[in-house]
Amino acid sequence: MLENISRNLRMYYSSQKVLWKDIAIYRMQFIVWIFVFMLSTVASVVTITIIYNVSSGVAGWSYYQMLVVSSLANMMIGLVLYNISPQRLARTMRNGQFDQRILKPYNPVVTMLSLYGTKTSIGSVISGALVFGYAAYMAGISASGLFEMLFIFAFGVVSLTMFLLTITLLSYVLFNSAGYMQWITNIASRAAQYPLTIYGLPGTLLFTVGLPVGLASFYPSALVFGKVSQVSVVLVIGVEALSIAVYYCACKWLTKKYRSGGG
Amino acid sequence: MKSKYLSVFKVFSKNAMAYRAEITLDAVFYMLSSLVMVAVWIAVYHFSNLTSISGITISSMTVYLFAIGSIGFLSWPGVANVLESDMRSGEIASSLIRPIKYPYATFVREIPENLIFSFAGTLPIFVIIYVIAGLHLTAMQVLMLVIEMVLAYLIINFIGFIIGSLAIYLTDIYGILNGVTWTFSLLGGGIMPLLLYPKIFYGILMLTPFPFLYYVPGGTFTGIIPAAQLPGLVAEGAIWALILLAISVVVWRRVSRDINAVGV
Repeated sequence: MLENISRNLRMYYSSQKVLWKDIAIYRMQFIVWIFVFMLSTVASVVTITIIYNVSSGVAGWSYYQMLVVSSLANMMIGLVLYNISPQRLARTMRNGQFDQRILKPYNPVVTMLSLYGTKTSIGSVISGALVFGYAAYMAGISASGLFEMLFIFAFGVVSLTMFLLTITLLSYVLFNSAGYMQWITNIASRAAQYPLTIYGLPGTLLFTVGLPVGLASFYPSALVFGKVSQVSVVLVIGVEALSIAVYYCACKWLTKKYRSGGG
Repeated sequence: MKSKYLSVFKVFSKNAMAYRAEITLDAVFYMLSSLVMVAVWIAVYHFSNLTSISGITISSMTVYLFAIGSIGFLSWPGVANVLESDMRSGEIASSLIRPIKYPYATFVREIPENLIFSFAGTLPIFVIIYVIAGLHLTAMQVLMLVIEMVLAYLIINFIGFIIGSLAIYLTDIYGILNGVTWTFSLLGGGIMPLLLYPKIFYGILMLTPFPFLYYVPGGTFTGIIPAAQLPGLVAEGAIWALILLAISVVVWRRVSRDINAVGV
């Protein structure tokens, strides 16, 4: 089993090397796209800064705490899109190229995550990390708090990635399209920028379990800033672990159900 | 002469009509996206215990956010896609020898989709908001709103035409187009009314073409912009449209000399 995991990880690493070499050929395009992805972080910072400039902000959350939530959301969406681009995956399925890929002796889920991401979304990760570093320092997050945060964040990112992969496959199996995944990503990314409590109980549940965007941005911040109890966070980690397992099984099942467009 | 462009218009109108379900679903998603920001601002108003921020009440803010959400139908410079696709496929070579002027044809091809998306997407949402929010617009405000929407369409598509023309040198222009739409959203009131920005930024931004896509139509519809300011803003928008038209003409003259279609 360990050898199998190691082999798949090596494939993931090799794929990244090849894809980055490919990007290096079109440097100008790459720089433009990095800049575009960074604009989403700029927009978040501008929005939050103006909100706190003209009002007292959101109940229970200071300016820097809000920036921490927002920057984690930007990093999260950047990392998710780095690994999975629903439109690209659906297109590859439709034109039959995906068939060639899953015939190779690698895990199909790892194969999808290796090859069909948007590499330029790294711009969102970089800009999010810069804002996060600054906001975390200003909000006085300790080293242990930071470690806890990043641990839950990593779980949240994996959970959201697997969720997006699952609904992309489901959408393709049902409708032969993943056209509306972009919208779901946009709404998810926008909703995750703010504390889930502002959406009320239905919104909090929706963005925790239904469209799990809060797991990577809201809960790590809420734990460190003392807005939720340790027990709640353990429960959230449990939900994350369970979701990852469920989504993984669903992805494997949906991969078997999928029919290519033929090429 | 006119019938040639009318024929192109008719053909592309039929194509655009094929996307009726897509328009409806897009409208739902635009509203859901706006709903997130509405929730944020409701939380801000409640916590701050304010009835208005920079003169904007919570109901005006809600109407504004839904209105600019529906303007999203017009925010993509589709003319750029037409140019890029023709240049990439080599179609431009055959288009240039047809007895119609190619730059006009790109607009005539794009207008049906925008018109249908506006009538089927933006207009119903505006009407629903108007009725639910109990807005009262005068005939002059409605007229100004219509002119502003046309100017917004022209401004974003003239910019699209300039960027699309550059596809001959850059090949892939989607990154730049995305950057432009983000910039319009950020600097043009696509996130919140520009009135909330610091006064100095507000003053500077109002001199640029950015507010004409979101803030000016959204502000007119909600009444955030006083009616007395509207004719001046429309005149400024028209000047920007003319400046961008002039730049488009210059860029096209330069670019059309370098067109060397390969076709794939």
